[in-house]
This record gives sequence, C-alpha cells and structure tokens, in this order.
Amino acid sequence: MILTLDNITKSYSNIKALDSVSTKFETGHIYGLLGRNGAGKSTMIKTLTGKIFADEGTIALDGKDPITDEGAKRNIYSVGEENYFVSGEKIKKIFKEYAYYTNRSFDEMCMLADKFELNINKSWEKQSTGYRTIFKDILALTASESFIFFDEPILGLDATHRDLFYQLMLEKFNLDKCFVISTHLIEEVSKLIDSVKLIHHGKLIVDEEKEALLANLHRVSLNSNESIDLQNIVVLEDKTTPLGRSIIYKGELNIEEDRINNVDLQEYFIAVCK
Amino acid sequence: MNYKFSSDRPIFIQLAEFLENDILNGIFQEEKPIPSTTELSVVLKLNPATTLKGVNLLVEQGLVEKKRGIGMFVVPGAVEKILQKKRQGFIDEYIKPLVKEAKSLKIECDELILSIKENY
Repeated sequence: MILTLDNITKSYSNIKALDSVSTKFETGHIYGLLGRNGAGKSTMIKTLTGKIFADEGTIALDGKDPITDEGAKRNIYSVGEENYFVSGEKIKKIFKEYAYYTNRSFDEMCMLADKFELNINKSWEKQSTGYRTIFKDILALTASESFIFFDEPILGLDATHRDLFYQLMLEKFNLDKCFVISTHLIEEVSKLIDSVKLIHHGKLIVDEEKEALLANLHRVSLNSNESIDLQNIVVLEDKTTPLGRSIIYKGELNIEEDRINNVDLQEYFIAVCK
Repeated sequence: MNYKFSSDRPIFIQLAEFLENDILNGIFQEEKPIPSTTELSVVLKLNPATTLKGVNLLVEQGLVEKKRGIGMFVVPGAVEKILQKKRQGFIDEYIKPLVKEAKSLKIECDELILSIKENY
C-alpha cells in the first residue's frame, strides 16, 4: 500500500508549517521523519490522520482519501504529543475502551504495560513524562492499522525503556506494515530506519533511502592553509576551527582516500538544518 | 556475540562482517543454520531491510544459502572462502596502515620486522 502526499501546504497565521510537501510512504518500510523542533513533523502527521486539514494539496491511500473514506481511514494510526484522553481516566479503563472499540487485545496491552512496568491503575495524567509516552507507545504497538506514525515515541524514556521499545517495534513490523518514527533524536533511530524524510522550515528537503544518502556523503579535513577545488561537489558545511578546516560534502572529491571520512546521519542533520 | 555497530560505515556491511567473523570462528558452523533475518533484526535492533541486505551480501558471496521454509544455512567451504578473502584484504586493512604509522613514528623497516617477529 502507498500513502501519497501531493503538494500539501498548511499555514498557521502567516507561517507555513508545511510548504508544498510531496512524498510517499510505502508498506514494508520504516521511515525516519526527522527535523528540528517546530519543523513541521507533527503537522504532517496530523494532516495525514485528519486531525487538522491542509490548506492545499491532496492525500491518498492507494488512491482513496484517508480523511473521508472509511476503509482508508482505518488504515492509518498516529499517537502523538496531544492528549485526547478523558481527564483523570485510569489507563486500565482506557485499555478496556480501546479493546472494545478497536481490534486491540486487552491482554496484549496489559502484557506490554507489564514489560514496561507501567502502573495501569493510575490515571494517565498522573504518570511521568516517560510513562505517558510509554502509554501512547503501547496503543501504537497494538494498533492493527497498516500505517503507524510514532510521534516522538522515545520522549522521556530511559535507555532501558528505549531499548525495549525498539525491540517491540521490530517484533511488530512486517512487510504489510509501514512505520514512521518522528523524532529529533537521530543517532538512536538511525539503525532502525531504512529511509529518511527530513523536514526543515516546513519544506521536505531530504527524501531518500538512508544507505544511498549516506554513501554519497563525506567529510574531508584540511590544513587551514591548504586550498582545494570545490567545483564538482556540493558543500553542506565548511567549518574552520583551531583544529583545521573540515568540509562535509556530497559527491566525489579528487583527494587521497585516507583523508576522506564518512558522515553519519546526525552530522548530516546538523549540517543541513541550520 | 559482540556486534557493536559504528555509525560511520554502512550498517549492512558491518553486519555481514560480523557474521563472517562468527562463521570463521565457528560460532556458526558449516551446514548449520544462522539466525533468521527477523531474529537478527530484533536482537540487534536493526532495520529489517538493512538486515536482509547484510545477509544477502553473504548469499551473493556463496557463504550462506536459503533453504526454502527452513532458513539460512552456512554453505560447506564457507570458512575457507572467508579465510581467502580476509587474507587478500589483510595487506590493505592491516599492513598498509601499520607501515604508515611506523613511518610517521620514524620506525625503520628492519626495526618493524623485528618487532613483528618478537610479537608473532
């Protein structure tokens, strides 16, 4: 299945939160939806699930409108920062409601809560930030929808819980699923994703397979007095520090191979999101 | 199992190397199965497509083969093949950097050979 966004634009007063974004999500992939705080990641997810409406553009799931078409609507799930649960409600009760109204299994939700040591007899509001995230992660992990958007799924989670989340997510994944992890914690999700969508100031500036993207990125270190021909490369960052000059670039540079280093996703992110 | 991935090289290549080492060291023996891509993906917290790509590198080199319905198996003769390949890479990967470092430390060739002999 393919979820397509065509020229999606959304403005809040005068600010374009999404600016003519066109892209697609396919089942069988785990995407990293990356960007700085306020870049437009959550806005994109909210337009896909019909929580907000785009000013312009169209969204289609295998050709059908996921906002109005009942079948298509039931194939996209997102859980994010916003809280839309009844105030003061115990998590156990919310799980029961979800088991009743959706395809989720109450036992499975409780089993996952147990793994995370989440106290389900407490209201969701009284949980710490990390446990509130875990509560929402459990709803996402037990969802039967094909497209699942995890909006900041590791917010406030300690290292043990993050590790458990990654494990559970990979156990749930199969070729009929599409997972999208929206986060600004890039280093950790780098191993989990196969494709990168990078939003910066509302624009989608990178939309590529991760390995292909990284294979084309390099860093070269120069002495500060050394000159170099930058004609045939795309310079992403050119920094001179007391330790010398360092250039992150795309393309091929004619220089001794042992002076060229690879760039990881986080370094790339910092170089392009300035 | 000591699969520690670094972020500056393609993960699928590192995975293939780790698996090759484990075959070489007899952790996965010839004609015996290796873990499934799903198991590898979950245990190592790796993207499933990346995991498959890494395992496919071994398939392409004729080191492991898919047996329909039962899984991936180490091909007989795989250890020898890996040994040959690693020997070819030994000069580029170990000798050249060693010589380069020795030169920058002004260690003479004879001196270097002597210390290799002492440590062999």
